[in-house]
Formats: sequence, C-alpha cells, structure tokens
Amino acid sequence: MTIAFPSFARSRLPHAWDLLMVLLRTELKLRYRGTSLGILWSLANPIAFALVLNIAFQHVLKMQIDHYALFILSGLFPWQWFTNSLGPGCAVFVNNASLIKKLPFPRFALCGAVVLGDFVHFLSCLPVLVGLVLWEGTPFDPIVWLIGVPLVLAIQTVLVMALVTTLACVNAYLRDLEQLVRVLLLLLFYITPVLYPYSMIPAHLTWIVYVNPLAPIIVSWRALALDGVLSPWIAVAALQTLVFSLLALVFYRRLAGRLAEVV
Amino acid sequence: MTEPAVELQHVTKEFYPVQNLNVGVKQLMLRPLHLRRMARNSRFVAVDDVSFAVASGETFGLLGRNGAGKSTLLAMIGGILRPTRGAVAVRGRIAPLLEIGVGFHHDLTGIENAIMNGVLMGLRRHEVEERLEQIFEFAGVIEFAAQPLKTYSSGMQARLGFAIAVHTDPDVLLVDEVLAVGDAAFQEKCFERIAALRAGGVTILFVSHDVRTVSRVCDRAAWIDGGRVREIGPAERVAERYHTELLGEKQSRSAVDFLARTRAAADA
Repeated sequence: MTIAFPSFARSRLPHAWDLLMVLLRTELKLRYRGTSLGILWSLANPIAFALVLNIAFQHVLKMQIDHYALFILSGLFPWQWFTNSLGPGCAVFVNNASLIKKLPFPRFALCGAVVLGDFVHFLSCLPVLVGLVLWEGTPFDPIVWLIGVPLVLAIQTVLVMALVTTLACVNAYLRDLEQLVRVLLLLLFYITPVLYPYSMIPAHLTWIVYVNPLAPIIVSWRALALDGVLSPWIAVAALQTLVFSLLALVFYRRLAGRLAEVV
Repeated sequence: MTEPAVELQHVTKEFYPVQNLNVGVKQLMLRPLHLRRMARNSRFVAVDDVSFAVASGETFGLLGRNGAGKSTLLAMIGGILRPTRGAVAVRGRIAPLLEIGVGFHHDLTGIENAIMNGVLMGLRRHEVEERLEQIFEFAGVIEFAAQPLKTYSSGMQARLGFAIAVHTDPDVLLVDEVLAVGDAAFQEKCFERIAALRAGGVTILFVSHDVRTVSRVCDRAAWIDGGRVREIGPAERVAERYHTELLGEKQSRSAVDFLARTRAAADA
C-alpha cells in the first residue's frame, strides 16, 4: 500500500518559511492591536513582578542578593518566555482547528509562530538587561555577550519549539494536558532557580536542575547577566534541547498527520 | 495516454470516535480490557472502498446527500485526512477550497487577510502580493482593501475568500459546496471563472448536492451513497439518475404520509 500525498506548495521549504512569517506577523499584530505602547507592554509584567519581589525579598525577608533587579529580571525574562509559549502553545492545534480541518499546510508552522512571537517579546526585553548591566557595573565583556546571547537564544528557541510541538500534538488527543501544564508550570516556577540563585540549591537536590528543561537556560542567562561569563550549564541546556527535539520529532511524525480528525 | 490528475484506489476511511482519548482515558482506568472492543464498536466507515480516476483537465462532480462521504473524500484528496486503507495520488499543485476564507480574522485588513489566506493555501508570499490587485478586483472590494475585515459584509468576505482561492493558480482545484455564496451576479462570475480555469486545463473536483450545478459545470460525475460509489459516468446522466431517485423517494414518502393522514382522519 502506498500513499502519495498531493503537493500542496510548489516549493516546500521556502513556502513553510513564508507561512511561519505570515503567521508570526499576524500573531504580533493581533496581540497588540489598538494599544499605543504596543510591544512595550511585554515589559510591564516582569518589571511589576520584579518590583514586588524587590520589596518582598529585600525589605521584608531581608534576603541579601547583590544587584537584585538584574538578578531577578535575568531570570524572569526567560521564564516569561517559557510560560508564555508553553501555556498557550499547548492549545495551538486545538485553537486553530478551523484551519487544520480545511487546509493541508505544515502544522508545525502554528507552533513555530507561537514560539517566535514570544521570542520577539524576549528580544524586546534584552535592552533592559543590557541597560541594567551597564548601570549596575557588573562584569561585562562585549565579546562574551556577542557569542553568548545568540547561542543561548538559539538553544532556548529550539528547546521551546520542541516542547511546544510535543505538548500541542499530545494535547490534541488528550485535552487534559493543557490543564496539567498550567499546574506544572506553577510548580516548576519554584523548582527552577528564578527567585533564588542556583547556589542556594542544596547539593543533594541539584539533580533536579539537570532534569528540569527550564532550569539550565535560566542559569545560563543569569551567568551572562551577573558575571558576564558563558556558564557550562549551556552544554546541559544544549543536551536537553537535543533530547526534547528528538522527542518532538517522534511525536510530531506520529500524531500530526491525524490532527484534522481529532481537533 | 496522459496520467490521471487524481487517482483513488480502494480508498477507505474509518473514524473511531474513541480515538479522541478524552473518552478513552477514563474508560481505560475503569475497564482497561474494554477499550479495544469499544474502539471496534464505535468504528464508523465514512468512505468504503472507493476507486476512480479524474483525467487531467477534467471537471469531475461528486454528488450525494448529506453525510454520504463526499467531503471526506475531498479532504483525503486534499491531503487533510489520510485514508485508512488504499491510495490517493494527486499530480500537480492542489488548491483545496473546502471552506471560504479559512483563517480570516476580523481585525486584520482585507490585504492582510488575503496574504494570510493565500499563503495558507500554499502560495509564496510574493506570489499572493503579485495577485492582490486581480483578487480584489475580482471580488469587487478593491476600495475596501485596506479596511479591516470587520467592515466587510458577509457577502463581501465570501467573495474575497473565493477570489483568493481561484487566483492561486492550481493544477487541481477542489471545491466543496462553496458556490452558494454572494448574489446571483457574483455566482455567475464564479461560474465564469471556473469555466476559464477549465479552459486553462485545470482539473476541478466539485462537491455538490445540487443536481443542476453538477450537470452544468462537470464533464463526469460520481454519485456517492453511503460511502460507496453508486454510479459513475457522464455528469448529466449521473445527475439525472440521482435526481430521479431523490424525486422518487420524496413522492413515495408523501404517499405514505397521505395514507397515514387519511387513515387517521378515518379513525377520528
């Protein structure tokens, strides 16, 4: 038995890229339609959160962390990217059922557009981090940043895409996953060293950082921002990204073909 | 002899309502051994061993009543559904017009929607942009091109959707019951456009339950009944047979109604 699939686009890869960009543009346009500050609003949430945390930890709990604003934001910005992508990303196939049921475009583009939307947000946060680094006078090596920032960005982008693709595929068949992910993200926020430095994790619990796909990336961003160095955790993050990408590939190949039947 | 543009060989499509695991998981936890049987019992055969070929440049109609399996067939040809068994082969680029204006968003402008819809239909971005003027002119909404879609009437939206689809320059065009949009003048324009595509050698597959449209537009047609091909042949002949059966059914049904009513009246 052979199944020949009709060719939907004349040139597959360039078309997939166009599709991704068109979906991304739409996503960004719709997110901030009618607001005068536009993408600047993506800064509002983490900065307000950082202010609250600043009061809670520095003044009430009297926790001593140097360069607190930089410390907390260098963890919160990448964390926000994770939660923004993984939460809504889970439901991306279900929410676009009307498209999936009617047209045979590559489904992956829907996941990609969600992740790239949040990627753009994260980029808009980076100048804040750079400004804080210069303001606080923490060690800053432009060469390390020029290599480190694109590297960690690339790893996080691929990692988030892999996670979103896997979750979205499974969620189309098992809608409970979306709710589960919401709860898990809440738990992960406290397991991941966002509010506290990695050094505060007791030695017998550091294994959690190795299995938590969100932790090594956050540790890497923080090392770049606070110490101006490329952390060896980038290697762990890269390895995790490889594993989750393979997983995503397996799930996508097995489940994506029948999405039109289940969403 | 040229190769057919669309070829179906023993195509069967089964649906398992249980495969949406939302029902499944709970059952799995309660009675794990029953899941397999449940899946088998809930099986629904939408298309049952269908074979036919559509020659390149031919306009082919699929007739049948609601739920006969026409749209499932079209979705398999369009690559949206995979057949459970059998093979579907399509040669050339396909434009599935299963619904008008897929992905249209009210807050985007007409142009933005046209680009998004065109790219979703398989065109490159620059290809859509090159065709924008033609598309908006055909739809007759050129003065609203930069306006958000929410300012369009539903007829204007449908016209825009149809205009994009017929300007995607496909080799094979799938049309599912979408011609009933717009006013009579626009419908006439749609038929003209379809005629022009036919003249240009485009293969068209056309789903309808409207007998007149099929016999007017199509060369050949297949009558799909209960997921199977009931009859296949010249469009006019198939359309007429289908029409005769529908009429016959209606007549016998009204006859039964009449008898029942007279009996009820006699009883009273």
